[in-house]
Amino acid sequence: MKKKVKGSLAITLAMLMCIGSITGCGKSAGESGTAETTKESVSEAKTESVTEAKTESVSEGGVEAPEDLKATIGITFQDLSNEFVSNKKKALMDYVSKNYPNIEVLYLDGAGDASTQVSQMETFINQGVDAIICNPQESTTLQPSYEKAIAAGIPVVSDGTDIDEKIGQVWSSCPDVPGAEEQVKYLMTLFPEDQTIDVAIMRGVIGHQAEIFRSEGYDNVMNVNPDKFNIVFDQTANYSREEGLQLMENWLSSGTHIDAVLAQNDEMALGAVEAIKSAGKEDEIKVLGIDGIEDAVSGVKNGSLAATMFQDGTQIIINSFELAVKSIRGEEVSDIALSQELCTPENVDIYVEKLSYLAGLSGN
Amino acid sequence: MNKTLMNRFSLILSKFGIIIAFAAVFTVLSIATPYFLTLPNMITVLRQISFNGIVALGMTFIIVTGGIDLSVGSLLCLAGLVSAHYSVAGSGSEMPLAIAVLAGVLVATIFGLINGLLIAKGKLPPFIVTMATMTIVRGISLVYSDGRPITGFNNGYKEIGQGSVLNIPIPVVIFGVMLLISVILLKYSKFGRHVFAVGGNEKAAIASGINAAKVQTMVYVIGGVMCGIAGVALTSRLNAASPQAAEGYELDAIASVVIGGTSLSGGRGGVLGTVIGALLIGIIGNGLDIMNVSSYYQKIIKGCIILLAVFLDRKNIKS
Repeated sequence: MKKKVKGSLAITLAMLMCIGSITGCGKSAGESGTAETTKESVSEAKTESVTEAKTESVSEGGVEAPEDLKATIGITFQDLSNEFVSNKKKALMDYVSKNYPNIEVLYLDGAGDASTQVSQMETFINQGVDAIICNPQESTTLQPSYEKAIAAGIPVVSDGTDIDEKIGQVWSSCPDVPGAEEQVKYLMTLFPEDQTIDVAIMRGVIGHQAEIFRSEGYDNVMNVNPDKFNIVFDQTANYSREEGLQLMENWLSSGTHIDAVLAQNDEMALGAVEAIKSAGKEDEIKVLGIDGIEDAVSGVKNGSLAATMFQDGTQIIINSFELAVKSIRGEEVSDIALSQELCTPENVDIYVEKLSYLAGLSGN
Repeated sequence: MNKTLMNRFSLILSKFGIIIAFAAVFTVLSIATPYFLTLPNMITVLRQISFNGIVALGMTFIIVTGGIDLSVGSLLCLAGLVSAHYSVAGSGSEMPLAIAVLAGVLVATIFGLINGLLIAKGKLPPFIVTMATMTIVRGISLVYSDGRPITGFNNGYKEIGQGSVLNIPIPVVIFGVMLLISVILLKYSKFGRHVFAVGGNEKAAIASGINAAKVQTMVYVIGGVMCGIAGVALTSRLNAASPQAAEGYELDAIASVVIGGTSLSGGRGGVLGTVIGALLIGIIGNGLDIMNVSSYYQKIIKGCIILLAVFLDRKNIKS
């Protein structure tokens, strides 16, 4: 009797897993020819920094426009439970539905696991997609998958993170090293020139590519300004708001004087802000983050955060997509690097507006 | 009769052992840095462990029956999201505080009930059931929140996690109240005795007329309630509800229970031990952060202590 229950339980579980993996694969067929222009469109420039872009209108016929291209593009996202990544997906689907009605985008969620992304890329290769966009969780594990795809004639575009070796893929990035450097340099401007800043550093998940680059950025600036910084704490809060809060609380308990907190992402920075608020030290300690998520931009606006580095996720993913489209059409492509932008109380309204666009999109 | 006496003895021994371990770590930390043993820091530590503490109280009941609950983090997260949704200042969905909190706790309790029914009546293994619930509820959290955090709480909601009563943080007060209720339930009520009986020997418990399935269901419901309460409090403290909150919470909760002397095989243990377990984990993190010990070492130290606790647990079973 027990064996029967176990057997049918196993079958049920297996079935559920199959159903789960099928529904986890999302598809979007575009709406047929809308005439509206999108707010975010892509520029054709192959230059290093893409800032404002020209708007493109959807053509109604005549010459074969890129917008009439029929293709299937597979995209594997790092982790759709992450707000920044999921915003990218929403922006992409919105963009595709408005501008490329004949392109089918198959998106999959890597759920924070690089080996899952390896399987997903294999799926795309087997399905024979016309191009793959990969938003890698890690910079090493996916290399064999990239090689297989490229060998099968499928162009690959790296979004956000790239794998370590250049083997024929293109990269749409928002470079972390210069962004982190700018964050530190801005911190320096917040204090008088002759003062040594007691700074506490909150790192992200150690070994994560973004953490490595952001730490490199910090080192670059701090090493040439050794007298300017006194690093009082240097620990990881794993990109989490709760850990950032807890870590900040414990730092405050330590009695060590802190002038500023440099956090490698906004979630940790926001956690630190909460702890500082509870201790009543908002006027004494400045907090800086990276990413430019909605809460952080609000924080900069209301003064609880000194600054953040805004990553235009929408533009990054659109750049990736356009690179994929160009690759499919056989055009020449090269990497696009979109600068992280310093968001301070002076210019925060620009970013509030950019984010309000994202807030208007719903997920599927 | 002899067995219960020996069980009681080894229980006292294991509890005593934990108290010694806690006192030892506490002393070492107090000497290592003068900032550890200060009133503000002690209050900070208490506040920090309250959330895991509340969850661990519920986990104690569950583990005493020989079960386990891996879904606590997800239940906590969803409770936070639901209660937060109804507490956004000036929004269309804003509700009176009591209703918002109740909604959050209710959601977690319902899933606790589902856990309980599947395990007790469905006779499915707790590990698998709660692992599935963990994943399902995490998914529900993402769908419910559309993957976005919820912020902008009204003042009432904020008070729960951020306020204090006579200088004692409200989460600590809540933890204290839950602790009192748990002690009374587990140690001084008929229900508590049934919990131990079912965990010690389910067949014997049933033979002596205890409704084992009902008891087993109830402990998961209790677990759900605790997660709901902790979820509301934690979300308020963080000033944001996130669909990614409390991932991995089950580990600290289980560790607190096991370190505290409750046996994973069920039938023995106590809530007071769990509190000491939670405190131990809490002071380690707090003390090591103050001393600026690298996170890598902290992980190693914390893991070793858990191993030690499980080792002691094994020894107690043998004796």
